[in-house]
Amino acid sequence: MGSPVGCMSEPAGRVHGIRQKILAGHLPKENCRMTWYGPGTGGVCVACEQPIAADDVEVECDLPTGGTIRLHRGCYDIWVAEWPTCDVG
Amino acid sequence: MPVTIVVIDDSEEYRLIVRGLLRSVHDVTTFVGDAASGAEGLALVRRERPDMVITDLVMPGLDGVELTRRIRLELPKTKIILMSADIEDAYRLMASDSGADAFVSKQMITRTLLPVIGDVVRREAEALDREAKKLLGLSPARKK
Repeated sequence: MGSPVGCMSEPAGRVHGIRQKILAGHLPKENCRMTWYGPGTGGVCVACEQPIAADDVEVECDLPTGGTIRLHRGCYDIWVAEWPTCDVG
Repeated sequence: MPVTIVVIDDSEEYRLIVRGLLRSVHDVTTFVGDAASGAEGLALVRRERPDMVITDLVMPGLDGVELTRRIRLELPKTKIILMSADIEDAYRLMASDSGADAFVSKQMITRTLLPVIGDVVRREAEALDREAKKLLGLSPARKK
């Protein structure tokens, strides 16, 4: 069985890494138009850059502005919790 | 207030699985009924006007995609979660085009359905919050 999130092992580091990506504009700051939850398809998680194994839960997010991003479920949960708090400056 | 939910699937097994999962969160959800076909399901949705519909994608007669389109037209605020054992790209595209809020693989339903319900409810709450702030002139753009 894959790890709970399938990516960075240290939670604080994982949160920090995802937050940095949001602040740098590498991850969007918007809610998904539609999400797909299913088994990992072997793609790479846009948040932690690790592969999403078949026994991990993969979330695919269709963005309202177009395009689709793919994340581990654990990374998705962190991203949706963090992006609304990233409106700095 | 609990989220009212209708379940539609021609498979009795999956209707029972979903009902069982909902039972574990009965404090925040209320199961209001289920149906074994798209047509029966549409009639139930029209009658009950639930907050959320969890429906199978592939069903004889009125399938999940067409059902989603009809519910979207008649009850645009109702949230819709599609589920399917078929997860090929073509099915995902159909689900996305239908206007559903989420699509869940039946292969992982016991691990994913409750988080998906929570995710859809959260997105709706955030959208309402943003709308309220905009109306009250509290959005960053209006403050400037």
